[in-house]
Amino acid sequence: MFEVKNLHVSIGETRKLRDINLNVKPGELHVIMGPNGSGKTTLAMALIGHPRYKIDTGKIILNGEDITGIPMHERTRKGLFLSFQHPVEIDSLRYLTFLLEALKKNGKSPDVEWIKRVFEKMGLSEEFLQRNVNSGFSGGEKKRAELAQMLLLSPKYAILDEPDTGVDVDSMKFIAGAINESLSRGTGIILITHYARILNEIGKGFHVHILAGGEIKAEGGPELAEKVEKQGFGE
Amino acid sequence: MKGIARKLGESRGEPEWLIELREEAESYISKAPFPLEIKPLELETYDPMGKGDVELPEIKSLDDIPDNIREMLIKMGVPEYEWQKILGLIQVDTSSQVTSFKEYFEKQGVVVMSLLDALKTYDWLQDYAFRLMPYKTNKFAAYHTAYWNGGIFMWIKEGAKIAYPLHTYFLITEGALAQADHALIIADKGAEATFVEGCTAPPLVRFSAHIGATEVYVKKNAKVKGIVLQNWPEYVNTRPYTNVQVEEGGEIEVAVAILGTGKSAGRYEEIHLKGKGAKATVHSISFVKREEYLDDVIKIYLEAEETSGLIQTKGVIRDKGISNSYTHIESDQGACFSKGHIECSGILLNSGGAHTTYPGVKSISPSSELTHEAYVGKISEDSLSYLMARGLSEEEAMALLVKGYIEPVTKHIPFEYLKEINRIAELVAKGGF
Ligand SMILES: Nc1ncnc2c1ncn2[C@@H]1O[C@H](COP(=O)(O)OP(=O)(O)OP(=O)(O)O)[C@@H](O)[C@H]1O
Ligand SMILES: [Mg+2]
Repeated sequence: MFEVKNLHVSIGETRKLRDINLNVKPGELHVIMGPNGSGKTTLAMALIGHPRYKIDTGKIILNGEDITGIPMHERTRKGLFLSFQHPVEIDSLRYLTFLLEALKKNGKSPDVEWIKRVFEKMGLSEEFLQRNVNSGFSGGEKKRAELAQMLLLSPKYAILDEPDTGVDVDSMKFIAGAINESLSRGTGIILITHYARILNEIGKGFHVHILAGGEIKAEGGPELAEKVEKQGFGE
Repeated sequence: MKGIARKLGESRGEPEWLIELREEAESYISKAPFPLEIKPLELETYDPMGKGDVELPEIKSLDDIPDNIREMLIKMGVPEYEWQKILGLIQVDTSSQVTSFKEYFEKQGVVVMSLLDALKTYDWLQDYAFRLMPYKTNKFAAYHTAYWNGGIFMWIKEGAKIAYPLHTYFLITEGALAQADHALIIADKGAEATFVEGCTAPPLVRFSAHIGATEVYVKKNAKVKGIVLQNWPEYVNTRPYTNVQVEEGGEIEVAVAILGTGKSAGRYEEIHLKGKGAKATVHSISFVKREEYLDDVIKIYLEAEETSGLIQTKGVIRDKGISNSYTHIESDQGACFSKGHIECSGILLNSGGAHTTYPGVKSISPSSELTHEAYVGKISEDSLSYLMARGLSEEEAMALLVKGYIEPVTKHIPFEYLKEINRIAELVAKGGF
């Protein structure tokens, strides 16, 4: 189980998140929705352990182990994954070189043929592996590549920060496909999104958490997502 | 220092024209200016008769290697069978191995011999030796011409194509690692060859100053590739000077890896494209760390129509390393439809050091197209975080980014040296140096 307990997070001196609680079980999907600037990315970054986001109090627990204080790369090696809202472009590092290294560090076999197959499954040709990391990728391509990484690393828990923003109908199919596949493999997923559209493609039930002003304001099932889609967050 | 030049020349049994050239150069040293871009050296403090000023333990076998050197070699992963070469334990000129090497080379159309022997054997070399870098050029050229004390001559005969790289360093046949060694390379019409100078590990040398020079003649349609590897021990100052002349249709491609500058290094490289369609490319990577100092000067002169030049330099700076990169491409009146491009950059891995680039282009030919770009930066925090979020530790991420950064240069370096260069890149990135 992945547990977030009474988490308070600051950026610099400013408190951005207050008293966040989440319990995600293997194979469960938890959807986080909320207005722009409500703190969704802040939560994602704090969970993965980005040093810019300071945890003031609270705990993050992965399968019983307190990982609140440990560095980012160790969290990843323990099976946590973050798909970035804005994946960075690294102009001087080939995607394939990067992936092989990442797989090795996470104890997975650096198998090029397998990487190619997974990329193909995400609608990305081999050519992307020869390019530099995210460099010149379109918005949709970046997101698909992030989810290809999720499939390759098969984490225990994955946080996906708006994988469906700015993607076309076809990309959406690839992305929903990757989410469904991971869920069925038992990965617990926290999906940050603005749209119910992607949720229609998910083949199972899910939990919804509404984040506003740095706090979780409401929780419920798929009907809550529908309501947000129709009426917005005004309440 | 007057009179030393003649003594030196006579003791080596040199032809009179060479001794006279030494003398002229010697009398010019005090008047000659230091090159603008390169840090001066107090040349008066060195003994031109070639007596070493660094005390080295006597090394007769691998067991005598000092601990710190042994540690360095292990750290760099240099295979043990290479150690002998690096430590100068193999006296190439006396071993029978070289004799058979020479016979083998001659069958392929390559003449390799000590420069002195060559100058005694071939009169026509008067028109080549010391002509590309007249002693009046600057103080180092004057000093070098007056007191050079070892060197090699390599001549690739017309049409000969040599598939394997020729190591100039290991074949220096007299006074290996002399204080002022001179290499003269001639690639005759249509010849093709690759030269390797230096090695990836620091050599043990007896001199704290090295004023070497290399002259390269690339004749019509010849193709020459040069790989320069430098990693000097920390007590050494080097001022190597290279001048290349390329004739019609000829090509020179140089890849330089400066892995350790020693106390200070001032590399000066000048390429003249004299004939139609001649081409030059220089790729250079340097690691400047601890208290190291580098002036790296690369100049290409486009002197005929349709010539082209490309310079790409990359610097990786750490700690108090200081690196200055001077690059210049110039086209003259006759260089119609010539092209030149300079790309220089540097990254600072931490604070304390500095990297400065001085890229310059100059053209007086309207149809010539010359461009340059430059930047100095650091490894981006966001890139580091991204890699760390994929399971790489900060050090591992740094090493991967540094290796990626230098890849456009290292891809021009033969595979057998890459492993060591990448290992050094990793050590520098992780601060293990
Ligand atoms: N590095 C930073 N320094 C200062 N403020 C920041 C920083 N990063 C984010 N913030 C602020 O924190 C708040 C929460 O930002 P966050 O990125 O978490 O929002 P979000 O919910 O992900 O929004 P969106 O839906 O637009 O992605 C915003 O007001 C934002 O401006
Ligand atoms: Mg966001």
